[in-house]
Amino acid sequence: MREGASSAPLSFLLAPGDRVLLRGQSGAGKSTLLTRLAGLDVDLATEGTIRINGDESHHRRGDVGYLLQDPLTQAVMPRVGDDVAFGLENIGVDPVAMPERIRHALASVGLNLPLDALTDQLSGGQRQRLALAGVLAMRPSLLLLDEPTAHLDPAGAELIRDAVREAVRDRHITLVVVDHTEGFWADVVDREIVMGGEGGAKTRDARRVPARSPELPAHETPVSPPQPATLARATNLAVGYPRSPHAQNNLNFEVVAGRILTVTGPNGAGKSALALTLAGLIPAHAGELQLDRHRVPVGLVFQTPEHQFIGSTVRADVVAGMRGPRGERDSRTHATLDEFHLTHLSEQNPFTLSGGEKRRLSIADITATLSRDRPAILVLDEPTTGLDHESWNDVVESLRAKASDGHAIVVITHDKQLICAISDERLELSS
Amino acid sequence: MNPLARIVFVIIVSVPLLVSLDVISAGVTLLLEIATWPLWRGSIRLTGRRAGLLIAVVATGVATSGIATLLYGRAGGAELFVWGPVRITELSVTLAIATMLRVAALVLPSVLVFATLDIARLADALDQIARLPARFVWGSIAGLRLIQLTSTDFRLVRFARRARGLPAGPLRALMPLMVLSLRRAESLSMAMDARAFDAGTSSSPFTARTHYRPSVLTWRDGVGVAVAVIIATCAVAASVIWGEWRFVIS
Repeated sequence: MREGASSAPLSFLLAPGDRVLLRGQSGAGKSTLLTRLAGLDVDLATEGTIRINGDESHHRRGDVGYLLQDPLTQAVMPRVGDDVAFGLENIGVDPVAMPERIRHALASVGLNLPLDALTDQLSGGQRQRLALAGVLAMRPSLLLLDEPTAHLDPAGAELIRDAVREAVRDRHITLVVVDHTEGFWADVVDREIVMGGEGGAKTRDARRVPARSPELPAHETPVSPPQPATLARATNLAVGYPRSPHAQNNLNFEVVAGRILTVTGPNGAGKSALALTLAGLIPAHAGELQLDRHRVPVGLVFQTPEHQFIGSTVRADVVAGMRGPRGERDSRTHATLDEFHLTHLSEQNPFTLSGGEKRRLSIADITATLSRDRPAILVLDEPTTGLDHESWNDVVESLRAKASDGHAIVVITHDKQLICAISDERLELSS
Repeated sequence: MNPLARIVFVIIVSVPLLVSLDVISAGVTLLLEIATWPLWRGSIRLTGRRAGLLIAVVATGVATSGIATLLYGRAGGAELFVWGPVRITELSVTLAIATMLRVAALVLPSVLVFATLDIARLADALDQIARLPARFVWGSIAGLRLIQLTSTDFRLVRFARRARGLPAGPLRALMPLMVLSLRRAESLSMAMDARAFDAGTSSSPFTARTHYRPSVLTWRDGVGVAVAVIIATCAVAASVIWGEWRFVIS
């Protein structure tokens, strides 16, 4: 864990059967707290003690079910059934009882796959459900979930939430869930613990938490540039990964300067493939994409921030890929770091940032390369995943500002509130 | 058959082929391998396309080794054809045939066994039968999963560099890739620990690890290994009786 990632001293008591939503700004230490609660990493730079049933928490491993943030590395085994069994084997469950528990766990998260399905071939949403099934099958008394719905489409997110609600219903399980979507867990949790910010942690009654949307400024149509220019036009476009079947056929849309186009669709519908195609990184399968890449640069914010980190510090990462004279680059870097509240982290290594900070940096990296006098297309793949409330607002403001500067914005997202807040045009992909 | 027994089978039948270079031992081994195919057929599932691919792999190996020995192998006896460094002689023809038979007899069972090996079942066997440490066995299995992730990461890291107009050669992507892989490995091991992996070794209340899929040796595995011993013995015996036994190192 990076130095300086810290929270104010935090004291709280979890009673058996409590259901708690843990919130706080990115970098406040939410994941660190969960890791400590799970008794996993006693080397983390933390002070104070955690006791579970009176024991130091690391003696109670296996009693704790912990779902980590990164869905890609959650599956341990090559096959679905074996993966759920892995935890059961580790806690010494009788093999005779395993098939029933595995089936039950998979059914409770709505994963209807054969037991010998390969975990490598699952979509992001399926992986997340599999990981939850693996944790639930162990029947932990404490369930720790770190952003369990971050990569899911709305239907998938509700499915996960319902599975969790069902699992904790009889209050045999104590639940701590980290999530940024306000109000989403309101009918599952009893209270909230807020970390970081002014005055340290505080708790409040979950039912009085206002939903995020009413606080939003109403969406105004951006001031249109003098001549709304079409920067790119897709005609009967088919996209998909190379050497794979088409994920989408017959897409028709326009990318217009000064406007924000939001692209939605279920997991696996080919949204990321569309982003890569727009950025010119993979060829279109069929159809036509009219886009003069020499005149109109296309910037892409990747779905996984780590993939685009280049510099050894946050500042170097923002500078990389910038054009123009040195003085201008410096001032733009400064302004961008400020805009995304990354200035205090500018000498940190990008890889050591928290999930939300990484996301902010990945957006800052690309917006920094946009120039006011040259309209560009900015494509963002799930830019609000894992963002806290304030960062979320920063992103919305930045995107609106870029649009009114005359750039065209394409946002791929599952975030309904983001769509309400910024969308001028919508493109909905079917599965 | 148990994956472990299959690997033992391959090792045993390979021994005569690795120590002798003659037509008889290789031919007998190959014939007996093909003759015991019905014994294997049940446990090796092959789709048409994979079978074709495997045949292609075996055929390529056989053909290249045969041609190389034919053209450049040890010369001896009457010269049949000479052109520059190429010398085809009676001895090199014999050696080429022996080599091809040998490669076929070696590669055929190895390819069949390793191509159809379920890596998780092998891990079960290594854990439960060979009694290797669970941490080593399952750690390796998890490590294998990282290879796939790494190839995806590699592609996307290069894409990201290209998207920012930076040079995106494979070497440039190496450094970020290494950092990413380390972080993935860390996160994977944490995911394993989060599911109580190796919890039994600390002062935890849990008993030893149990096994979802028991890996046991049955009479079939005994028969399989016995068959391997018989094939190897027949090959050596036939070769010695015919006076063809020829140690590789001589």
